[in-house]
Amino acid sequence: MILVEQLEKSYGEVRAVNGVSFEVQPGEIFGLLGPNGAGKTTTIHCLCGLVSPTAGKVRIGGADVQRDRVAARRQMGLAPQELALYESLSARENLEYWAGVYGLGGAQLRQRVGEALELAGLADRGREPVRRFSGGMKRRLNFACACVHRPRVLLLDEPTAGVDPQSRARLLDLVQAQASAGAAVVYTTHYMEEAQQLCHRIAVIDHGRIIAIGTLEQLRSLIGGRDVLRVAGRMDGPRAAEAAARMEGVEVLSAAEDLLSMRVEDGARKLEPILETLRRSGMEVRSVSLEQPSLESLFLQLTGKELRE
Amino acid sequence: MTAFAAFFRKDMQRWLRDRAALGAWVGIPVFVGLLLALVFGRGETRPQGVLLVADLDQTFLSRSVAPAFTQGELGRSFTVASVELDEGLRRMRRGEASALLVIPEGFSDRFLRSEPQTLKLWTNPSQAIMPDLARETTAILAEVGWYLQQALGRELRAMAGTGPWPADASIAMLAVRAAALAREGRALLDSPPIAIEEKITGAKQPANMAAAMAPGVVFMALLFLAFGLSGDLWVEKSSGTLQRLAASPAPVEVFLAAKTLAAVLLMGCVSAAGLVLGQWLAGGAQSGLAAAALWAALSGGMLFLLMALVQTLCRSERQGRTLANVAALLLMMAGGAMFPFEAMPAAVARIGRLTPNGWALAEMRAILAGDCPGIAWKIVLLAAMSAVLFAAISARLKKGFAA
Repeated sequence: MILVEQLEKSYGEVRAVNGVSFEVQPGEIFGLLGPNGAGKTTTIHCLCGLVSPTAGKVRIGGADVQRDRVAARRQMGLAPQELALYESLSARENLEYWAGVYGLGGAQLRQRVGEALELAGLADRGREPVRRFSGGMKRRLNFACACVHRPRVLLLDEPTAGVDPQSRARLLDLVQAQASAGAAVVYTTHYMEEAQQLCHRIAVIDHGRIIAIGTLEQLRSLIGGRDVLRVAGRMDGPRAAEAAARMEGVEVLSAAEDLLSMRVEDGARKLEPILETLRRSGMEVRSVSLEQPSLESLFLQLTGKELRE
Repeated sequence: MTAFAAFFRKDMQRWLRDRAALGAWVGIPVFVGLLLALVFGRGETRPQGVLLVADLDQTFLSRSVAPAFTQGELGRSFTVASVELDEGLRRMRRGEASALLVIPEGFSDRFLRSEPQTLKLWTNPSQAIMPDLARETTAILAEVGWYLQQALGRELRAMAGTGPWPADASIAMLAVRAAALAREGRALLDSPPIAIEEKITGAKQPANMAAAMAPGVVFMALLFLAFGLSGDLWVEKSSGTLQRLAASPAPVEVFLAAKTLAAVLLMGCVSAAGLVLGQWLAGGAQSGLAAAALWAALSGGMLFLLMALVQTLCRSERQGRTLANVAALLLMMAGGAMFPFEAMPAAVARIGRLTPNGWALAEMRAILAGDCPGIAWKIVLLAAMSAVLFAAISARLKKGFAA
């Protein structure tokens, strides 16, 4: 349904997207996971034709996004990062507008708008101006506006940005419902938990380049099943790294003045010896965290930095 | 529903619901119009002055001077008030009157003896027309008085000798003598056999100041609306709706066309209301009101596109709004919306008439005056200007602004 091949987008000297390739099948939720500025939004903009790529190809349902714009766009629904809503209009009027933009009319329009209101859980608030809605309600309506014409491809650019956990959970359910109905979904986020919970496949993106791609299990296997240990305190970065690296089964991922990150085999058993070694080397340990392998730890392993940095 | 209908409906719903903005765009010019109506009044107006007369002589003849200013047409221009000299001078100092005429003591005696004498006239320098009128009228009165004294001096002296009010016999004698004089001088007094045909060139201007400014006020409203409505493109951009639209199959040209049509419709309603208000202020029916409203609506569409181009060429909302605001104010001032062309220096008025709104305003006034030759070509020109602006904005929306 979605085919992206060697996609590149440069702004002068800056290469925002660099050789990105992936495919998304109907019913699949494909996650683009990366920190702010990694190139997720630029990739989405290239997919929906808002930005012309410098190189590469994007096809939506077989239609080239650049050459056959209208056919490609007819199959798409976009929920942009901003709340693309008219605050003075009601939820129903917003949905009617976007349905009209996609050529729906008459009884079909009314039926789809009713369904979209139900989907977003706003059926009883449909006639209220959007400006009276909470942030979570606006996010759900923003999502419903992208779905009202039943697109075969859904492009969701950080659709849960700034919402409370309850609304986030509801939104994730809505996305899953769309995928279950057969839509191919591209979902960008910098929340690792969302990607883990929602996406069938995930591409980890940094500096415009996909650094890992696969299912959650495939990505976890890249870490080799080792835990990530973070020790915070007064660290002398190089000396702490040197002391830790001398221990068997310990790989230092990053070492700063106040934080030492390591990948450790059987972290729970090795925790005490590592801390003892660091103390003997003159480091002052203030807090410790031990994590099972996750996308966060994968990102740390691949880039040497935290996902939210 | 077609995409065009969806765009049009959405804009009309939003704009009509934004009552505060709509009120400001329409309210400011209407306020200016009503202010003019309050200042200048409705219907045909003429300057009205106050003439103070201080009669120090207090005789039959001196008391005849003041009524001379209230005869015929002069009476519609002057309100004459008799005052004591001190009060008259005090009111003149406060600027409460156009002129103060002082009839000196002994006026009648010197008049009847044909001795030279001086009438004192104080005028108000802060007024333009009325003091001149008072001065001219007084000069004429002085001249008429001399002829009267020459022709009817004997009868007048007889009347003056009978006390403060003339006796009936004296009045009858004066009337008989005046009739005889009229008979003798008829040949000289009859109008010469030359007729004067009066021709008025150029468009008939409304007699009322507020009505004269009404077309300009309509264009002021149009410029306010054009500025405000074009700023909606920035609202759509910053809210993300424009971006979402750019990712839809609907062309941005259709989006822009629907927005322009909504603006034209809104401006047409405002123009029609403004012109009807102007007609009411003029106190009479003007021809071509519907045609003028239509022309104003089309011109408003062009001004909307002009403002939209200014806004979309800028890199930020603040820059766009500031620049469009400055452009709108300059066009208002130069293009006859704030000050009539007639009140401008000739060179500035020439430039003003070349501005898009100045040209459109001049044409609308011509339509109202029923003098609009080649209007079809002018509509074509207006449409061509709008089309060029439309194409430029569409290109800008596609190249970066919408994304």
